[in-house]
Amino acid sequence: MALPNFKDRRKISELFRRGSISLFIVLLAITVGSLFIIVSGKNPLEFLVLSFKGAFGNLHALSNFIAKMIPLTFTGLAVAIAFRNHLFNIGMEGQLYLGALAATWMGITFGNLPAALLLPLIIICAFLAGALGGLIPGILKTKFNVHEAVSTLFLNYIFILFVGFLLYGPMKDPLAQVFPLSSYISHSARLPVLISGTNIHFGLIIAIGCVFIMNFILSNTTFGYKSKAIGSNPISSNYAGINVSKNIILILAISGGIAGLGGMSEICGFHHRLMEGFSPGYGFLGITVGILGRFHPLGVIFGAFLVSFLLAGTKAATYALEISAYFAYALAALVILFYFIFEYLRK
Amino acid sequence: MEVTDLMGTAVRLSTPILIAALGEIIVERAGMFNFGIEGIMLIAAFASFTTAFISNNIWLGLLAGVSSGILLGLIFAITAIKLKIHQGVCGITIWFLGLYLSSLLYDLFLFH
Repeated sequence: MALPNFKDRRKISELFRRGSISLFIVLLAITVGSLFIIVSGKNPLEFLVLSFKGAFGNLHALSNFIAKMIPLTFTGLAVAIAFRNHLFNIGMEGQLYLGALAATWMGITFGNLPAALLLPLIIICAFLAGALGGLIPGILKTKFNVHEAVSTLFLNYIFILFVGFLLYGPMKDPLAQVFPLSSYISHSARLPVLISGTNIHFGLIIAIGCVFIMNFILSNTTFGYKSKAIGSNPISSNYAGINVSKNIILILAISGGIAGLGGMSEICGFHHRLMEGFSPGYGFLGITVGILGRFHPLGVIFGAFLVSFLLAGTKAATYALEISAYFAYALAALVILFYFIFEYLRK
Repeated sequence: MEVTDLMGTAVRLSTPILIAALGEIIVERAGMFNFGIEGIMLIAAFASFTTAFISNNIWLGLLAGVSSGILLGLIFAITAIKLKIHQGVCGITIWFLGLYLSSLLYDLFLFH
């Protein structure tokens, strides 16, 4: 079809409208946040200029900005898949760590395999490890009626502390004296850099690929339709003959697996070794990404763009003006609160 | 360490958990769950400490802690009940807002 028909055009204007609302919410949060800047005796306009410079000012800033978008796209996609079906998976942080753990373990243990074989294996393993983190709350929900928001929240601590335990003990690099770091993964386990001299790695292509694959699955397959039906009304879905338990477990496992891929891309593409606290809250920020993307797989890319601006640009400005580094995170929380109010006003 | 010391420490350490659990019980009896309790505690801790520190009066500090808790509880109630957002998501938002807002305010006003 050469020309977009009426329906497509309406779709595009709808996308544009949603995107501009998300953009407005972020700008509103920054405006309200400026009060804190004024209180601390700094100039908010200078802060805004420094934020834009910190995100897009030069090649280094831009590469940092895009590198931060990659894990945010993964965790945001994980949130979008679960939340749009009314499954409140908030264990992305733990699932991210599980994926990173699997990737590091594979990258160290099977380091002598060629990259063409090792990288797909690592991607599959990281996905499965993250999926395990989603499978457990899924089984708990369907078998024991435990609310998934509670179980994923507490599993976060279990997975993150488990990784910490491994880093202080069995996986600790013998050369690292003080800090709990693992050894470096082998060179064949590292994701290639797309543009030399920057941090932009192959994870970007995997992230965008995941977004389009999930968009296809959710909108064009029976699984996507079934999961949507379950999200709207599980009782009537069960009556209509959909296996509710199986689909709930599957959605949570896929959501966890994608968060696990985010951990893999951070380790194999950027850090090349596992360390405590390698994620500056990508799991939590994923909720902001998902909300700004309106829980739509394609919207997640735009949401990741906005949150990455907070994480890369605003954070650089807070360092330059010596404001607290928590400012960017407080803004990310304010964004969610404003979104709630907007949702209410829209109705 | 004496056994009595240990018991005394146990009582002291259980106090914040007990009071927080008491607050959560009220919510849960009404059929809700409030994840934001951690964030509410952090904001209230900041508010009561700052007030008590500036005014040199412990009771004013108590008042500030309780009122900031009421304010955040109100935000949770409005978003979850009036705005009809899922209570788990509201709670998480209150939690992170409390966590990062209290850290931010601490850095701005108390840390020199």
